[in-house]
Amino acid sequence: MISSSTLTIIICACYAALILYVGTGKWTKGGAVRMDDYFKVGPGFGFIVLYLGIAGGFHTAFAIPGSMGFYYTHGVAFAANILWTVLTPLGVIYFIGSRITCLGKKFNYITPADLLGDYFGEGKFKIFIASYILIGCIPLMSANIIGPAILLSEGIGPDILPRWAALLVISILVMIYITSSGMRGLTWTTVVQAVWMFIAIWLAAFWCLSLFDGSMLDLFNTIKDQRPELLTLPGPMGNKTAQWWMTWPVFGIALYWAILPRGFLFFYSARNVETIRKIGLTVGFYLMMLYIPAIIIGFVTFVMMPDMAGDKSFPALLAEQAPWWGGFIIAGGLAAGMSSLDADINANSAMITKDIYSKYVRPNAPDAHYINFGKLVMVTLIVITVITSLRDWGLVTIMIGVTAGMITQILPAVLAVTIPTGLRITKTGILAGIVAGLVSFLVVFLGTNPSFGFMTLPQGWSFDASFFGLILNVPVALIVSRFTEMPDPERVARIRGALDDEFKRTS
Amino acid sequence: MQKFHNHIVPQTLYQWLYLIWFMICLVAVWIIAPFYFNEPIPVFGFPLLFVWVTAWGFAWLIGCVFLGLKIEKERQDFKKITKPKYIDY
Repeated sequence: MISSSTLTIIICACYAALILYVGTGKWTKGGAVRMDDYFKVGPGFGFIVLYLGIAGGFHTAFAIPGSMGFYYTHGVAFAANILWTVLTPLGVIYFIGSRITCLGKKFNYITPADLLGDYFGEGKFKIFIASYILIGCIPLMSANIIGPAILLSEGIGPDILPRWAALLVISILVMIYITSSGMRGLTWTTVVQAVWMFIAIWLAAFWCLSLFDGSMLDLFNTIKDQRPELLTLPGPMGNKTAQWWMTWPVFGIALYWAILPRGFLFFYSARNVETIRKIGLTVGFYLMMLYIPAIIIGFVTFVMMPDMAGDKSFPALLAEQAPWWGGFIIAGGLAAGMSSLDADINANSAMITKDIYSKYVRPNAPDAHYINFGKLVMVTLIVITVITSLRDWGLVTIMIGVTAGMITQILPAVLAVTIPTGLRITKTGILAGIVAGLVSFLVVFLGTNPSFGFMTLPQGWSFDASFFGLILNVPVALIVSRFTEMPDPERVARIRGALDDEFKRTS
Repeated sequence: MQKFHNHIVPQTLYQWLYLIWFMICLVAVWIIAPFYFNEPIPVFGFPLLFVWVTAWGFAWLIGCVFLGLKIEKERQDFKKITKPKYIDY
């Protein structure tokens, strides 16, 4: 009789082999040795591949096992996430993503700083934007490796595969296919990962319901008897209030999720504007439907294994009760984390190589040199990610919150470039807005965090910290812009001309 | 001198309808849900808040897909009229 651990290892090994095959196959080779066909896909992907690429890339380790842990700890408050899974595609991807695609194709941008620097001016501004985004994104990589590593280690057994070994296995896998084929390889692997994780989470939900041996109504009534706070806001901890609901999913996720560097690289890699608009219209179905079964898993886990830490509850349930195909669910967790980790590493490597190295360290080198340098950066970033993931996880969690606050602050700059409105917005205004917004965010975020705790919000205030950043950023940016120099009119006219050409409907 | 064109104002009927439907669904999920549907009532065994948000999420998506495809058709028609040799970058 084969043990559960052995079966899990076999299924995860099959998953790894499939990912390596898909991520390094001949379909991932572009033909041309060019930066704009390595960090992004120059000719562009069509609808299906990019749809699944974005779908998988946008769901992180927060989907598996994070979402079930959230339902376990905070109850139905997790439904707030359904807001971003629809708002981000229909609002941000459809309106802004399509414009980023338009400009990226027209002017051959590779990084987010290419787009912002082209409009507001190159030089120090571009360096600042690239460094700022880069610093903001590093914690996300740790988050996307540590969740799957816990799941893998617990699923196989920590005595057989300790967490550090699980981290090593995942990082080596990602390192192989991402250095082999850049954006092409990671998008193709994400296609497989998106399908795998979708099947895995629905399978896990049906399995959990069978464990409970009852209907959804029985589950609801059991929760109502044991801990009714899980069924309504503000949840058992009392902190998931209506104010939190109205700020966190919008300001803390929806408005920045699509303007992460990985989002830009996906938008630049679309075949045309129409492709990205159709993805914006439809990818919400995938994003939302991945979260629907999580409520069943979270609630059944609560009933079966109460009194655990949320993020460890589902891995513990799997370790104790996993069926012979439990490895399939664990591999789904790997897929959720790896599909974002690889996209982040590629995007961050592109920023270091294109915005900093090729501009200031070694200009005018052949593209093959930059690609090799980019691969070196990828390996370095993976090593840094593994090292930081071995350290204090609580600190990483805080840093992820900081990421949200930091990246949200560049939204006004992205809007100023992509959606001409007639408002006067200058480079100095944008910088002042970012600084003001970031300071405001950090004061509230760190000040109200139990680890620091040097302030409290007024009684009854439970808005998410990310909200405080953006509401200060925008007015400061507008006020400072009134008194500072406008960007070069020729640059502005060129970019607006491209947008008019694509989006204007009146002759 | 290039004429300035404001991109934030919808330009066609379907673009207006998209915006209006988007706002209705946003308000239903974002504002109304936590205040008026936050009760421990089961609907098909799921908490009321979860069902309200998920149902509106689907309605939001379906409505915007319908209107978005109409906008796309308008766009194609406009390109045919104004730019017979349109090149998608």
